[in-house]
Amino acid sequence: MASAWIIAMKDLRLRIRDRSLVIFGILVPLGLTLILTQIIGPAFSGGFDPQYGIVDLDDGPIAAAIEEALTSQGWETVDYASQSDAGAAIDDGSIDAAFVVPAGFIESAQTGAPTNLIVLGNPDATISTLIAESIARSFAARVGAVQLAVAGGVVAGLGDAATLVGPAQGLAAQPDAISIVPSETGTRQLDPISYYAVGMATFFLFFTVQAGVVSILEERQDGTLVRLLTAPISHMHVLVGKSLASMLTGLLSVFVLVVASTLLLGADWGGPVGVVVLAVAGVMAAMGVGLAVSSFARNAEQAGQFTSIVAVVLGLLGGVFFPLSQASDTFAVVSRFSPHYWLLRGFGDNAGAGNLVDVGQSAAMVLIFASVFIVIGYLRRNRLEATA
Amino acid sequence: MDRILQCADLEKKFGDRHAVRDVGFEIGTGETYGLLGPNGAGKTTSISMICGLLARDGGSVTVDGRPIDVNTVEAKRAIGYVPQDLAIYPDLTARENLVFFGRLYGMDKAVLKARVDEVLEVIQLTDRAGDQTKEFSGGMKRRLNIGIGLLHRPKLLVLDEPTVGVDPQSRNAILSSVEHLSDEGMAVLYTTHYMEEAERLCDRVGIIDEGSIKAEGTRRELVTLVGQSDKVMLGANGHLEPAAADMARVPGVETASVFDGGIEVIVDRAAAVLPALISAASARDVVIRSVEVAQPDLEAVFLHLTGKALRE
Repeated sequence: MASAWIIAMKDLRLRIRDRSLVIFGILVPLGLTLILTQIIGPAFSGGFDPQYGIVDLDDGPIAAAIEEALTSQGWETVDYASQSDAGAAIDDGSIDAAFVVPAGFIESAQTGAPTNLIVLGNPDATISTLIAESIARSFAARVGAVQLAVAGGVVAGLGDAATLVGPAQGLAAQPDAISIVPSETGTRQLDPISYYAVGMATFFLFFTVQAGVVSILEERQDGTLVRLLTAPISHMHVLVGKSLASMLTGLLSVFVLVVASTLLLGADWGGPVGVVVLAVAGVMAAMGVGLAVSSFARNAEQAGQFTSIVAVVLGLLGGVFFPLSQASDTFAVVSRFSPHYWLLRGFGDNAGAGNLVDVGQSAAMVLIFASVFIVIGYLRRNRLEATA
Repeated sequence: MDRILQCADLEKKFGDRHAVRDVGFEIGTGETYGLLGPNGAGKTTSISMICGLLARDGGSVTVDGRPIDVNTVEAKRAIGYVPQDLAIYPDLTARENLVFFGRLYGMDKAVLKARVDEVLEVIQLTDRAGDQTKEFSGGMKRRLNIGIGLLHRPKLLVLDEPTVGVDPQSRNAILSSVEHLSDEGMAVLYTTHYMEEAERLCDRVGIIDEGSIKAEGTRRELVTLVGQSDKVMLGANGHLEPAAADMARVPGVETASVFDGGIEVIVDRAAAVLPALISAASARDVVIRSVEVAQPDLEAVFLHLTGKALRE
């Protein structure tokens, strides 16, 4: 195996010397992490900080209840005197959405007369508006429940509407019989910096590692592979040497990114054991995909194109650019066929409340993926070595 | 003389086409053997099988007494291969290229360092040893390409058209280097389509065309095979007809005829009869202005054997 190590060290020296490792393995992912965090980060995690306006024209308890619901989430509220004032605030971007409780709202609720709870939304803040609509619907449902209870009581001869409103409101205020408690997803949620640090590291890991694998074809094209194959070493050692170089460049890239993103950007990758396990699994997957895909290429240029396409597709599928929580159910299922999905999930567990078993499960999925592609690449290795 | 390379009945097919058929020859210690043939004749395919790069469909190869095929590892240590295309890393220095390949051949660190210096001297790149080879001229790259093949002191050095695309100065340097190798006892297999290189370097030549060896032997044996003699062209003034008649009677002369401005004499061996020809001319007061001897060459042999020129 000494010959494999000699080949690996030579490749590593070449990768460092041509600067591709530094550029694509470290600088670009680090830069993109910073950019994506600034652009997209606030939209999906702890950085989400909407501001809501409240216009209370009813002067009743509903506006106070809405305000309480919003502030309990840590979101800021601003009171406005009129609907037009709130609309102007939305237009100038001061707030993301506003609730308008019209005059006579509570009286209508008590008498069963039709009424509206108005939500004003900013088209550029769709998530904030959707949340406002959801809260408004929840209040409307409770008001509807009060109206229904009062009407039922009157029909049943339990009293008039004025006397039944109080008890009906009390009933509507009872906690829901069935409640939904957020559980696992919370443990897998990374903050934006960490999410994109992990995402970009994973994404570019595939480019970095695959570039090493593609170098077999480059050596074939440049004529140096012929020289390696006439040396007193087995063909397998050549393949192992090239793969070893790919692994080392991949691991080096990940570990530099871990340290740099932690120190410079404040990313949280979690415990070192989990990071090492997931990084090794990721490198193996990237190597497997590189070997398999390259074996279908006619030359190094084509292999570079093929592996880049596959890396981008798997990355997008795995959610390295956008959190999969915003994707459709179908996409969420399909994304599980990407190693990037499992790597992001594993790193999420590692940085969150997940334990090493959770991390191990994700790593195992990545390794299964890696094994399939390594076997394909191994079976087609003669295509890589063909000197004709 | 020990047999370093023995190959017999080599056969290789690509689809239905026979690229090589029944190729076989031997090379001994200190001997330079040339495979002479045009592009596409089967030279590179043959040496690819000899070096264990290409699986053969038939035949056998042994180098230094050990069989060679694509899965052979240890026996390949006896071979130094210089491919036709440059096989060096442009981002490594000349020294780094040599050290890398030397280590692949398992050379000891101290031995390797000394040998690298020695080879750099031989290929005249000592002063550029620390430069990346992408900065080298074509000729320098070619010399390094050969140096890597020589580095581990192989018993058999295989050079596949090492002077293709090289400027005349570098070409001469390469040919001089190869000439010295046989002096060191190295067996050399040299493929070329340049007749002059084969004539200058090779002790024996195999003429290969369309995948098979048409004839093999020393230059003289091959020329004899064709049956041509030396031609002596004497530029002369005076009574040419009687002088030519006298020359025709000299032992070893086949024919002597007058042409405009001189006499053309066909002889077995020019060197042996030239003094007698000059004496015959003097006896008839013929003044000789110039002497030109033309020997039949391998180009003529190739033409005779295949019906086409080497560079067709």
